[in-house]
Amino acid sequence: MFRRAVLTAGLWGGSAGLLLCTSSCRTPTALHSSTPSAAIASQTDGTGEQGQASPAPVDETARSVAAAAHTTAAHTTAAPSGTSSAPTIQQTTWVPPVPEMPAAARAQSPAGQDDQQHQVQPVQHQVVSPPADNVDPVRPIVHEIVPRTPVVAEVCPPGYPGVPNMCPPGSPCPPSYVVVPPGYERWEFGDEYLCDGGDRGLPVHYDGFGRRGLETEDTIGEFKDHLGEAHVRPSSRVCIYAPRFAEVRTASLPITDVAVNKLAANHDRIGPGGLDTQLAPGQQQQNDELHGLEMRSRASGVDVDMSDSSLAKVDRIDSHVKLINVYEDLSFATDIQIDQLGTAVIGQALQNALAWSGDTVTYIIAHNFKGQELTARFAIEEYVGIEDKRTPGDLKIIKLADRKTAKPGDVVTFKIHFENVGGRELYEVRIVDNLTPRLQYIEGSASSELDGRVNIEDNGEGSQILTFELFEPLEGKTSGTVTFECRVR
Amino acid sequence: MSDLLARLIAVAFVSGLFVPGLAAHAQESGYYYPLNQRLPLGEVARWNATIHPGLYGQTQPVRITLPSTGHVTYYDGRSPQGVLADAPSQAGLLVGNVYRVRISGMPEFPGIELYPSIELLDRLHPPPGQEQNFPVPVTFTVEEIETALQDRMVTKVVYLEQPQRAAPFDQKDGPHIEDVPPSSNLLEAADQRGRPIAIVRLGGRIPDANAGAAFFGPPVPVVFPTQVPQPPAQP
Repeated sequence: MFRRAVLTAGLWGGSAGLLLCTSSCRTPTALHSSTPSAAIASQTDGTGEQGQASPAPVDETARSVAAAAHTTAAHTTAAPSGTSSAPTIQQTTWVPPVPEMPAAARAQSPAGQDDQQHQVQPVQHQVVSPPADNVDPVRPIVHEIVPRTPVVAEVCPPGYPGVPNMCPPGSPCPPSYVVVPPGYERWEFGDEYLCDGGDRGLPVHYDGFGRRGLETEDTIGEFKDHLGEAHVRPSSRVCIYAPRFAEVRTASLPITDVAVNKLAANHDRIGPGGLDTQLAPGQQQQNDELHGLEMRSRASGVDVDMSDSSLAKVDRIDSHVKLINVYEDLSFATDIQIDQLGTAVIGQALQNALAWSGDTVTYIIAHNFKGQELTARFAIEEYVGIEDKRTPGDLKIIKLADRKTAKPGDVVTFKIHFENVGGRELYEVRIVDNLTPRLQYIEGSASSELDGRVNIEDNGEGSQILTFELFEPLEGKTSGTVTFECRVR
Repeated sequence: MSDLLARLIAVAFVSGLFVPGLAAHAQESGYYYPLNQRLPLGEVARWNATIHPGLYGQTQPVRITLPSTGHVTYYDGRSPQGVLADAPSQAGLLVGNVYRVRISGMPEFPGIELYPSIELLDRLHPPPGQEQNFPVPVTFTVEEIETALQDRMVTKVVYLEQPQRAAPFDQKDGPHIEDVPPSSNLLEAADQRGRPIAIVRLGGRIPDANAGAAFFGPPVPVVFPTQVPQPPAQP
């Protein structure tokens, strides 16, 4: 809560500052807790018990209302006071000051109107076109303000015994908290509900090690379709209003001790104890003079020409060009396939004798070769099949509870209704429910319309995982229901 | 990041939290918690009501339970004697305020009267008509009363458990109570476990005869269940 509160204070820095300024400016006693006495008292653990209770904003609001009413009454009596010097008290209707409202909420609660009605009349802005002969008259532009649902009524505290009404009569609410845009009142109410079902957090999926992502509150259905592929479908989520409280406690010893830390008249003086030290600058001057030394220097009249020795050296980078050509290398590595086709060949040879002699006869040479490989191709001449026009099977799971609210110790009956919305069968159907830690499964309470069994295992977080397995495939367009009971912890 | 930090510091300055003794202690969670249970009465509730517009002034039923039987006296300013009720007692308190009640008539502690305070920080949002069926439990155990009679002060923060983080135990004998060291920030500990709802302080202090009604602070209305239509039981 306070993490979000601090974050909200940061994000709504401007608006929060406005709210703080609004409350502090309107109720100067709102920040009286920072007095020195309160700060000293806060050093001890008995502050809350021994300190004065700070003024509540109820009292501040009443005071601000009274102050505003007094101001209004003074203003109303100021006009006729020009004729009469004696002030007269008139009972007037208190009109709350118009607070700064967000732009989104400005259209919903105009000041001075009855909050019960809250009917915002459409505002029409007419633009008067200048007269011109050749210009068509400009049509009036109509701006309609869509009336919004008033929210001030639900945040306005009602009257209580002893305090007839915290709101001034005729005004919607105390101005300090009258402006609440829709949806900004509170947003974290989920902790008051006990939910089960759905697939929160990491979605349930499968990897090489099995099923992953089955957290508490998850209720899923597993099945395999006609192709053998596994699927997961989450159920609907059911929530029961079942808040549960706990306490963190500490015990301390209040100490009402007053500790004064100061120097107990101790004068500690540290000074030079009669020690005089004179430090004079030790200036010492020493003059050294040259005595009887004369020196004359003149130009010797010798001209020396130093010229360049006309030595020129030229360093030139030799142009060296080296060309490395990639020798063309052609390498073919191919799969060598030697196909040898041998067919039956009948060789016939007929030779005629060139020179017919008497004992020369014609003879025949024949060779027989067998086929080494036989290749055959079969072509399908006709295909006969049966087309199944049924839609693939799919699972739809709805989880229901028999209660809307529950207290610790109550028994809640859950019903999980599953249906094969497809036409084909579903195989290996299993309904898996990982109970939230606040639900205790009641042994023997599980039942199912279809034949199956239920497996109960610990989920490692103080609750159980219920797995309903169906013995038979789930036909298309059929449904079933499993029921079990849980005790709310 | 620097802009956010500057805004937080600015808000804290405006709220008067940068005073001696209010500096946050070493945080266990890594978050900065400017509030703790040692602040003056009503400071945390006022801070929370300022941050959450529309929260202040809402009625939240609170059920006060004693070890067995006894009496609970509410002080709403209508009479100096207060309104006496039998324990366990349920009444509607206004969020953002501090109530000081008197518990007495306990058979375990004859003649003992204690004056605990209840600082209501937040409220519940039950379905319409079910408000009285889900009060905030404020329980006083025997050991807490004995501790208070030993001139020690018991401070408790009642929080709404986060369902996913709730302890998987049954609540047969009242809410689960966890003791933490006195140097701990109870609001931080409660915020890590759920949503803080109320701060309950129980000590041995009795009203001063010379202090008068100032002991009970400013009068704040109390709505009793007899004034609220009872809804039918919700199955």
